[in-house]
Amino acid sequence: MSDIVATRFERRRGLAAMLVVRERVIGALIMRELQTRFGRSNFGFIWLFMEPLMLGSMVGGIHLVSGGDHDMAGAPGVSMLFFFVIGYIPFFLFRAIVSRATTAVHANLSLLYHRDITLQDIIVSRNLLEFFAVAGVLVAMLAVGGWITGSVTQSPLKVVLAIVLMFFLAHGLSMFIAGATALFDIVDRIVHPLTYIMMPLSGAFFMVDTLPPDWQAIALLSPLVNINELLRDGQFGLLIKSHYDIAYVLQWILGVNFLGLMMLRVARPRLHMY
Amino acid sequence: MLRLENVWKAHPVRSGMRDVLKGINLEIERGDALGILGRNGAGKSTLLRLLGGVDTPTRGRITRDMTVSWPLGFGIGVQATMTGADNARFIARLYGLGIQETLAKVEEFAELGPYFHEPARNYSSGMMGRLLLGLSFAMEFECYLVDEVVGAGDSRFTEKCIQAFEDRRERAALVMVTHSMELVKQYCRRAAVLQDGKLRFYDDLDEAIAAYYVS
Repeated sequence: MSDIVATRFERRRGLAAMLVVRERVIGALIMRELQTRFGRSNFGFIWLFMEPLMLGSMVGGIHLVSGGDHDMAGAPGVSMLFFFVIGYIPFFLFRAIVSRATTAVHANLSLLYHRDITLQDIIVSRNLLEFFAVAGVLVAMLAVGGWITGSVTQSPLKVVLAIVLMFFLAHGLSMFIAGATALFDIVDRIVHPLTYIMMPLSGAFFMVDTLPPDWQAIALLSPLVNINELLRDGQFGLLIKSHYDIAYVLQWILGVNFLGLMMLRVARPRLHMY
Repeated sequence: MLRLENVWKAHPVRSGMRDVLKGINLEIERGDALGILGRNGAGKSTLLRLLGGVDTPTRGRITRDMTVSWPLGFGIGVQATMTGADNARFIARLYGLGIQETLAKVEEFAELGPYFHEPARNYSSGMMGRLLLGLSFAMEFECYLVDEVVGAGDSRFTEKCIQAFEDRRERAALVMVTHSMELVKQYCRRAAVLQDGKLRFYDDLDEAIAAYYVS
C-alpha cells in the first residue's frame, strides 16, 4: 500500500486568504445562528436574562429564608443577592458553551457539505454568539444590580478579563467535548451531569476567603473558582478579600484549547457523513 | 480539473469495515457531463462526497483544481428550519456573493412563489430540488455534483435545468449520480457504471445503459 495519500480538507492557501475565508464563514454562521435562535421571536433573548436572574435570586432567597443575613457573610456591605446573581453569570456562560458542545457536530453535520466550513468554524461561531449574549447580560446586571444595591464596579478591566478568560476556558473545553462526542456517544451522557455537579463547585456561591485554609488551596485548583474571584474583585474591590492566580488560569486555557484542537482534528476524518 | 486516483473508501459496519469503493479512477474537465449509474447502495453518494471534498478517502489521491459544488442531494446543504430566502442569504454570505443579487437569482430560478418565505421543511421534493439548484446556480461553480435532485422536477423544470447546464457547458462540468437511465440520457454525454466498488466507463451512453441494465 504505497499510494496512501491523505487528502487535505482545506486547500493550501496563504494565511491572509485563509483568514478572509474564516471571517466570511464565521460571519455567515453567526448570522444564521442569530436567525434560528432569536429571529422569529424575542423569547430566546428574554430567557437569556431570566435564567441568571432567577437562579441567583433563588439561591440568595434560600439563604435569606434559612436565616442568613442580607449582606454576604464575611463581606459587610455586599448584598448577598447581588453577589449570587453576579457569581452565576460566568458559570452561565461556561455551562451554555460546554453543554451545547455535545450537539455541535451532529446537529450541524449537513453544514460540513459546504467545504469551506470546518468544525472549528461551527464551534467558534456558536460560542462567540453565546459570549456576546452573556456579556450583554453581565453588563446589564452590573448596571441595574449596582444601581439598586449601590455597588459601583471597582475595576471594569478585571470584570472584562474574567469573562474573557471564562470564554476561552469554555471554548477549549467545548472543542474537546464536541470532538469526543462525535467519536464516542457516551461523552454526551457524562457532560450534562458533570455541568450540574460543577455548579456548586464553580465558586459562584462562595468566597474562597471564608473557607478554611486547607480548603482554600483545594478550591483554587479549579480555574472556575479563580475566575469567579477575579470577577468579584473587579466588582467589589476592597469590600472583599479575593484570591486568584491569572497565570494559572492561562495555563488551563492553553491546555484545554490545545487538546480541543487536537480532538477536532482527530474527529473530522472519522465523522460518518450520511 | 478534478481527478481521483485509485481511491478506496471503507465504511464502518458491525463486523468491521466494509469497502464501498475499491480503487476508483476518474478525471473530469470543464465541459464534461458525466453520468454515473448505479443501483441502490452501490456507493454513488459516497463517491459524490469524496468528489465534493466533504469526506476523506481511506486511501488514494484526490486532486481538485476547480471550484466544486457541494453534493446537490435532497436536504443536503440546506437548513430545513430556515426559509428558502434565509437559505439563500446564508449561501450568499458563505460564498461571498451579493445578498440581493443572490436572492433575485434564486427566486427567479426556483420559482417558489410565496413558498420562498416558508421554512424549507414544508417543501415538496420538487420544490427542494428547485431551491438547491437555484442556490448552486447563483454561485457559478466550475463543477456541479448532482445527486438525484433534478429527477423530482416536472417537465417544465427539467427543461429549465437542461438549459441551465447547457448555458454553462463551456465553463463548467457536471457529474450526476443516479439510478435512472432517463436522466443520464437527458443530461450527460458520457457515462460510467458503478458496481462492486469499481467504476467502468463506456464509450457511448447506450453502451453504458445496456451494461447497467444487465448489471
